[in-house]
Amino acid sequence: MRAHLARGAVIAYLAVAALLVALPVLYVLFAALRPGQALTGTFRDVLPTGFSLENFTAALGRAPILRQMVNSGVVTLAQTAAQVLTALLAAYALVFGRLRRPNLVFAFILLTMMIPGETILVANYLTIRSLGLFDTVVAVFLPFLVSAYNVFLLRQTFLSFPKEIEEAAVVDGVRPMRFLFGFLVPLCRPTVVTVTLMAAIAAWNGYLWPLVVSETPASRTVQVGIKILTDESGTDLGASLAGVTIAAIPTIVLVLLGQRFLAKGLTQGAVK
Amino acid sequence: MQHVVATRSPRGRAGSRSRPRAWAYGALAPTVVALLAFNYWPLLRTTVLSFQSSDLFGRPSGFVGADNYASMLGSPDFRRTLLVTSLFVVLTVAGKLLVGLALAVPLSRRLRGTAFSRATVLIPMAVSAAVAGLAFRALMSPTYGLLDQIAIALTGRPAGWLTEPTMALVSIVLVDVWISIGFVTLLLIAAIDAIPVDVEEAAALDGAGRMRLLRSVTVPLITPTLFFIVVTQSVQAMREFTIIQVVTGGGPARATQTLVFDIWAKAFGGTADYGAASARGIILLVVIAVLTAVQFGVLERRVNY
Amino acid sequence: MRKGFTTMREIRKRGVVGALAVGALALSACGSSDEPSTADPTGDTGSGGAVTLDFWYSVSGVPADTLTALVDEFNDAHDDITVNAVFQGSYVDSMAKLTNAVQSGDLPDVIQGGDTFSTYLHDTGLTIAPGEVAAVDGTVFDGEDLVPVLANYYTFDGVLSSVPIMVSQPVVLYNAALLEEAGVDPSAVPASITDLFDVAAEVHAATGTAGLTVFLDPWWSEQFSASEGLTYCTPDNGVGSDPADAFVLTSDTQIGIWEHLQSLVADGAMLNTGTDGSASLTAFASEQAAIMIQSSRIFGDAERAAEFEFGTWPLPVGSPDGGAVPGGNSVWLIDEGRSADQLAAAATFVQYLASPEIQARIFVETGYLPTSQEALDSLQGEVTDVQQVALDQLARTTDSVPSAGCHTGAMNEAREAVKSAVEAVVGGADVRATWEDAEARGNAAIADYLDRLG
Repeated sequence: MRAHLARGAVIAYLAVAALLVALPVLYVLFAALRPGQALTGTFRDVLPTGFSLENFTAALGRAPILRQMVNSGVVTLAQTAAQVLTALLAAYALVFGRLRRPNLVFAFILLTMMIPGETILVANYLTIRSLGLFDTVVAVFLPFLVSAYNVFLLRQTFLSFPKEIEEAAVVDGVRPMRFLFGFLVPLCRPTVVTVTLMAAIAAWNGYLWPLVVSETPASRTVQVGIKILTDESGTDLGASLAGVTIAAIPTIVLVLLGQRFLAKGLTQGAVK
Repeated sequence: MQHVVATRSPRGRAGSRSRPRAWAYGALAPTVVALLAFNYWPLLRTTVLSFQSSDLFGRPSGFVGADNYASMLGSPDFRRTLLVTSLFVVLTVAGKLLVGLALAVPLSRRLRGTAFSRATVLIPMAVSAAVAGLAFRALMSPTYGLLDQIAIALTGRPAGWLTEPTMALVSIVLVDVWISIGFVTLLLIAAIDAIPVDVEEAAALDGAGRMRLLRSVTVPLITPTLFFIVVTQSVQAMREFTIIQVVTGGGPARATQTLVFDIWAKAFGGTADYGAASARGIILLVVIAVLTAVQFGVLERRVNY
Repeated sequence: MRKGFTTMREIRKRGVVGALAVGALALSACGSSDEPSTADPTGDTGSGGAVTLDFWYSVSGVPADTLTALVDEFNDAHDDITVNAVFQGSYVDSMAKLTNAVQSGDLPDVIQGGDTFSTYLHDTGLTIAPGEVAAVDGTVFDGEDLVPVLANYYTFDGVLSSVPIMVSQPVVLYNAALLEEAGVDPSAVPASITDLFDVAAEVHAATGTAGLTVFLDPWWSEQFSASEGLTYCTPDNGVGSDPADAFVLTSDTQIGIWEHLQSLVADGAMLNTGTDGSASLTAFASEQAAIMIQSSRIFGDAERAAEFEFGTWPLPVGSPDGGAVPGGNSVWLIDEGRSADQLAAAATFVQYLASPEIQARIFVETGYLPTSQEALDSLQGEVTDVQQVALDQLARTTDSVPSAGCHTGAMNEAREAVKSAVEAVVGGADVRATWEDAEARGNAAIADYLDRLG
């Protein structure tokens, strides 16, 4: 009996905790959908008390949110593709390229992880300015074409293959790129997918850098866009939170779909 | 032309007697070029900038030696910034560990009826820091925010989440912990799951109660993951910007102005003082390196592999 | 060993991703086709000599709606000029962007600069006086129609350096019902800031509702000081022949006011809603605070937000030398790298904004005071009582040094220090020590600014 009570208590505790965790998201969603006063400052704000899309219309009218979503999408696509491709190529070269000093090269790559992006913020900004790319979408992903961490992960995975298979492929006359993409990648698919997913989420969530290199609403990414929308909306909280809701949808979908890979990917780096 | 290498490298992959593959250089080129252009070169430039002063518009106006560093280290504002940063790091890491364990330990038991909870704690991972920051900004706002309503109901006075200097720091810690709940809990669940069942059973047989089990068995056995969390989350906390800019803007009264925020403010907050921003950037790098080194030196010893 | 050879599909998938990436790169590298190039210094003229202007603005809420409507109407009325209005955040954010943009020349054509940035903008040398540029039709802005006290604020060395278009002064909004409930006579205008605080305390004591809400901002430090006839920075608030070189923030009067405010907050008589003006308005509009000290630009938003009748008082002026400092913003013409066509178009736009009809409309819709004397005159008697109070206050404001407000290029940085001080004081810190610290910082900021100015 006591065991049942104890178990019941744990389940209840977890349910309450889960609700508390979900609270901010629900709060925003309900406020965005609420017609009239988005937040009334009473406890009824935690309940869905009304349904209207007027805040969404207001948000879309104040800021080019859809355009900003496209910008974010372009950045995410380009940055992720670049990071995954360069990481695959680099890991491939490090592991199978028969370099004379691969560990040196690997250290060269890995050491950049010790350089925080925030330290070199101004320098990168000045580079973008002098390239004339300020306030463009390209500027947002250009400094992030390579992720040392992804190189690390993929190299890790490639190392688990015996080098003989590559030699066999050479003997068989298989072109190196074909070997990489036709053979290695499919076998490492879980890692590649995880790497892709994590890179995509990081690209979509970027804030500081897009804030620094964008100026006009049409070239902002959606993360910066919703912050500026909130500043501009003043008392119109509904519009602000509607914008926030719109911006949150893609990652929520992405995480729901990719749960499995995310869980594995996170633990891969950690438990080691 | 052959490079004859006397010793065979233990990894067996390189340093062997054959020549590098022809495609290897090409495959490495994009990575190397990109890292040189956007990591190493900017680091060099940042260092140079940190020894220069800048005019009203950020244009370098001469070398001033270590002046930027001297005035920075001598300013009470900067010392305050370091204090705020340290507090933030310590509080968020502690918070994440505590909350993570508080959720992961019961969740790892996979009791019936907790599947919903297990899925829900992933929600914070599904939203960006900007989205989370704006959500909490609404929750914590002084007039219509839910959290102040709760505070008033409980204590009769508003809590001033964003308007009282001390509370503001707590608030951003809260937001940061919330954002990381999913990530940290997942890691801890995986780590707890990895504990061999027989170890737990043996301890239970020996009469260990739940808490004792937790303290003496579970926690020691997941120290690698705990260490990983401490190290990575410390670095991440040192670099945190979004939450602060979105929720408090560095205030009130500089109560939430961390080092990274200071870097951004010095460069883009109106004064275009690129020299000062770069000096602070270098300090950030040094602090992170030192912190990580210290953690490896001190804490890693206590990790049970 | 040839397992997993779904080569073609994998490569095609990679290829698709790669192609998409390249396509995206191509798409985005062009920036956006509907964005005018801001980096083109030789003049952006499309077919038929059309000029596109970049206009950076910083107002939000109702004033933003009005401003963007005005821009649209201007664009419709002028075939050969298109103004592209971009919200750049607060005055501080906008100035920061301008500062950072100088190096690469990506400057806008017209910028809405906050009042306290006037000295800075003037010092940058990036702008040109409106009196030196002719509009497309040849007219030159002579400033004759500007309300004198406003023109003075934006005049340097005898030359009007920018065109004020959205000017405000502080006003005090009160909830008539709550005041009556507390037995306070709304027609008795408080004689000084201290008296106003006392009224707030009274209302709180009688009704339990907070008596006062003020958004925390350095502006109030300046206004409270000016209302007491104090010179905020020496010498002569920087409007004399010498630039300002020090702040005066620690006089007994000033300390007294802030100590009084601090005690109001501690007692719960003042509701602390932080630095956000809209949060303060929401508190007032939802009747959580009986009195709100705000900028007159809040009228439009207040009408929208409050569902009850509110009255207005002018800012209490405790000293005969004192007055409410005009605030708000003005528009500046950027000269750096512009062609004659662009300057002419910009001048046309600016003159449009300053014209009497537009100024009258701005006041009626938003609460920003009309900068045109003609507009001011035409509005007399045509406006609501609430609005009339603001107009009367403007008419009453003299040209004294205190009400001119502090003019220094270091105002932005100094204000950061003052803002921190205000937040700290409201949070309970020692008032004198905090303000002495802020004063020291302000002085250091001026010194640094004058140094970097060269």
